[in-house]
Amino acid sequence: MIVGIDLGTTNSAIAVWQDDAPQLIPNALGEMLTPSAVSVDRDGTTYVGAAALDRLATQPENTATSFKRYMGTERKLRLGKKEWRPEDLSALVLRTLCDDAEALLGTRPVEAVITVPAYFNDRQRKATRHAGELAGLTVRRLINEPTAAALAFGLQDQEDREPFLVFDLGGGTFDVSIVDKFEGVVEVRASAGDNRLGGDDFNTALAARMKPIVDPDGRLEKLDARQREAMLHRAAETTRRQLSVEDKATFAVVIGEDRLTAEVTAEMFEAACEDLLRRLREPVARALRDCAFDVAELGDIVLVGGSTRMPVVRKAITRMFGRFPNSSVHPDHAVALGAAIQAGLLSRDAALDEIRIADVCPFTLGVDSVERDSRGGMQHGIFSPIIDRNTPVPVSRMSSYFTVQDNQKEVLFNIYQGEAREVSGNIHLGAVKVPVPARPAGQAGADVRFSYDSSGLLEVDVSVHETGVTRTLVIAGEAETLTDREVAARRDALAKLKFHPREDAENVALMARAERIYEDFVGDERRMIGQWITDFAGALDSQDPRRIAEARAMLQQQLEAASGTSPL
Amino acid sequence: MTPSAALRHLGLRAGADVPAIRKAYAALYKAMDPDADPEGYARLRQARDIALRAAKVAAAPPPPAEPEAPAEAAAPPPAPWVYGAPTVAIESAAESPLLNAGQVPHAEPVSAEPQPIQAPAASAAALRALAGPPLLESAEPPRAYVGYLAQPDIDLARLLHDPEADLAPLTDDQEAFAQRCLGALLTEAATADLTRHARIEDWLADLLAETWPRSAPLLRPAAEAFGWENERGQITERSSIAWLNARLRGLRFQDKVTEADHPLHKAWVELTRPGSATIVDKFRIKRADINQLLEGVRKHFPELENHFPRERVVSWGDGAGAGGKGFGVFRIFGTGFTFNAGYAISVVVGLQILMAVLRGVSPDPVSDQRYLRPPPAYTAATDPQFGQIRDAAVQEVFGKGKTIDWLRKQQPGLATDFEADLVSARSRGVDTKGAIANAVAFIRDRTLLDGRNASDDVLRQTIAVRLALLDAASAAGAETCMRVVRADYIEDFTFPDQVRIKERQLARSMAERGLLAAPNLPSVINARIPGALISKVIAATGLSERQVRDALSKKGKSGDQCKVTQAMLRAALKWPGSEADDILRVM
Repeated sequence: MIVGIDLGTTNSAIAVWQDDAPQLIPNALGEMLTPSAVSVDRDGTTYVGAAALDRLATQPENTATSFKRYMGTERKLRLGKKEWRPEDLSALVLRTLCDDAEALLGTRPVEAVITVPAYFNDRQRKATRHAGELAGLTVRRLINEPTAAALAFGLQDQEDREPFLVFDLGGGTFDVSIVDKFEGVVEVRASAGDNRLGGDDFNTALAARMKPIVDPDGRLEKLDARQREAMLHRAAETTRRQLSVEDKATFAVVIGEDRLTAEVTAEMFEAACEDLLRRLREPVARALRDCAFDVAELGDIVLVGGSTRMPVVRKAITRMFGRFPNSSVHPDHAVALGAAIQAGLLSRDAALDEIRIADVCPFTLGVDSVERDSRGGMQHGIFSPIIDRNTPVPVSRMSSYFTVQDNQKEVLFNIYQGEAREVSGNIHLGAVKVPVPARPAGQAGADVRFSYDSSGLLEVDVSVHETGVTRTLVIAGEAETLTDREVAARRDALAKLKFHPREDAENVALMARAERIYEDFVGDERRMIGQWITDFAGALDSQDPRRIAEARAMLQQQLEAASGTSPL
Repeated sequence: MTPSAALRHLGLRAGADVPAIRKAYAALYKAMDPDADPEGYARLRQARDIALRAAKVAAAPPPPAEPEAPAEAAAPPPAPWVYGAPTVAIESAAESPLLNAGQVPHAEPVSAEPQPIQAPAASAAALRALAGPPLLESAEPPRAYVGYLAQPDIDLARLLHDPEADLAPLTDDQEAFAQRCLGALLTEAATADLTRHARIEDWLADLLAETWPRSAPLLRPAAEAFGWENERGQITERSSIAWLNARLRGLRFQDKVTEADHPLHKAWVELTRPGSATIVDKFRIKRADINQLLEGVRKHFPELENHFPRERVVSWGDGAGAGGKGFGVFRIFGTGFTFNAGYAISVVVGLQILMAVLRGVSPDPVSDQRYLRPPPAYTAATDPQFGQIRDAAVQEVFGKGKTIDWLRKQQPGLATDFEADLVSARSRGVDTKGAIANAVAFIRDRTLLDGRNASDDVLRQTIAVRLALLDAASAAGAETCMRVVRADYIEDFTFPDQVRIKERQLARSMAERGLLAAPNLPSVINARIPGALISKVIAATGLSERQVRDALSKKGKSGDQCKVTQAMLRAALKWPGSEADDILRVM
């Protein structure tokens, strides 16, 4: 059995192809979405999901969110005493999702399809694959998020569709894909995106705008930076959610015994994120240009990703396309469901016999080269594309290159991914060196063939004209920087982490939530919530399941009532 | 792959429609394993795409016949938006150029209902046509820069393209008005759908590029709104955007250098002052800084040189010290890029040559007697000696055995001009010898001017002849030499036979190739001279660097100018770099 996993910036979800349909798997709290958050206790106990997210308020220095944004970078996040790579944190989320699947299905999944933003580059994809391996999964395929959403949307019925556009604005990334569906073939025509644009940026923009208004005296500056950022980010997130259903919202932060608030109108929010809204246009225009479609030729505009719920984003989309978008797929579920469909395709499920998916390669791939300028000088480091972006995959293309110096003995091909004219602006994927016979410049040459298959594997073949010597380099999505033993070692290290038992998940999450709400109040209310928490902790200590269940129901009721009175 | 081959590839017959093509494609695609055969998959996609395109073209209804433009203009349409409505108006304006201002034509038949004009397919060319001069000639440029912006695009285009202003900088009130127009357009773009957005963007990019430097104050807000700089350095950077991005970097540099803490700030202030630099200035400012600034500006932001009064630059010796001393490497502006200090001496030459060319094509009969029609009293028919003189002139110019018939066969227009020139000389009472000398000078003028605009080998032959002429003339004195340098018409100096033989060969071969037409304006009127070439000239002439530089600026003693011209041409003939041709053309 292969599962489909949407490993998102804010939330993650897992689904499986079962009974001729994709089905989401609920987590221990009965929810379909698991927040992509990890938190560590002083004693080393690790929290993942809702509990971890709530601990962001109380334990910002021990909690990490939005780590997907750092995938593929060297950046490490400090939680408590330990430093974590983004892959490690992602692996913990994946493992929690697999626990949920095991609880529902009875067997632990070992193979998975994981989704990535279409505009994720090779390094980011490698890091994602790596995270899967650390979680004990064989990653059968990485599939682009808008492609997965297109599968989910396209397979809602048997009808052929006009080319539609998937507009996927998630927590940290933005993707656009233009997709055609006919005769059971779902064909991506072009993808573009911005892998540094998402809901988090809207929070940052709103927080930056509100900070001087809500805190004119600069009291926030005295707080620890991480705590301040966490507080502002959460306040912005709450405000943003409220603005999705109302015209006005309150932006509030609590410092010590004081609650600082300011009112935000929809217009203020729109003005604050003007630049971000403008950045939404560019990838759409690029995707349309690449597949030579006009806005008028598009059928539906399909919205995916939680951030498309924002009215300001919907307004911008309506302006951009001159029509209202289609919200017939669940923006938070479509990607995971699509991943499960892809998993069903990979396991050759009979119900999907007539379905095929064709994707494109979203980046240009090529080698570095030397060009002669008009004065006879040599320009080094010029990117020579071999596979253009938005070419349908699988694809195999060849180019010939010649020596630039007399009696040159070898040729080094550096392989790059990106759109910059100079290779220094692109991502280096690897290098192949071949010996060439000593000849005058330009008289020894080699053919370079790039083959890019549908699972994102790039194979580079270099063959020398004169000698027939060939070299092959497979640039797999594998994490080649680590040996198998290192992977195994890190996997074991992650496995040794202490977790609360799954059956405790509800209690743990509730406690974290109560502690978070405690922080939001001041004065008598805060003292009262503190008392409830003490009572609940006492019930937990008794280890009496009946008493715990009663106390839990009580606390839930109390918190709901308290939150109801809270403007947050 | 042809459409019919594409259909065969898909196993279809001619005339298959879109659903049939998709069905056939889907069946073939599902039957194959693309990963095992990526090339087969690429062929299948290609066949599908070609077949689909052909089927869509076949299915589209034939375009409606173009209605004839009415002779009488209808009422003006509502305020047209450049990137939307007005294509119709413009196309018919092009068809009937005689329409007056204010009578904006309407392409629909007059009887048709006035409709909101929709032109989603307005081509870039049509849009440019609107913004460009053809319309403006017949339109009133706005005089008052206030009031409601009914048509910000048209107002902006008119303001920037104003033929009277001739791309001069905008005045303050003009700039304020232009910024308001731009603001209206940017707001429109930000809220428009993507098609309209792209149209506004392309239109603005073209307008700003066409009207540069008048449009300079508008570049930054436009670039920011459309994110043009994000495109910089990408494979797909559009050419107009690339050009504007380069200007944008120039503006940025100007911003930085006009701030007091920039290392080249003093040099910038110095070079932007009017008048010549005094001795005091030269003590105050480091020459190295001046050179560094000039070199950098000329290499990277040539448009910024407009800020430097020519006199000021010349008084600093025009980049003096940089040339001639080999290729030093300077670090400039602290940004880490390097360049050869030896480059970038821009020499504006060819002024006299330009005059000579204009002389040849001048429509003004008073300014030049040689191209006058002969007075009625004299005609070739009434001159019994004319045929004889003409034949002698042809032989003298093109060599023994050549006749006017030969010349007519090679280049009929040239033969006509040649005869007219002789008639003109005779009508002024010039004797036989003088008329022949006049004919020689006439053809020399043409070979030297046309030869400069010719391709490589003819250019080099021309320069060889020019050098022979210069050598012979300088033997007779500096003033005679200068007349050759200036490409004057020389009738009263007899060149030695070996020079004449070369001249005849060149004239013959150019006539045979039809190259001796009435001269055009030279394609190149200034050239960059590498420092190393200046070093060669200094070595060959024994003059000082200062003297060489003056001579290149058409100053200093005639003898020096003559020597420098000869030495420079010799050096340029041997120079391997691509600058050589331009130097040969302008010297």
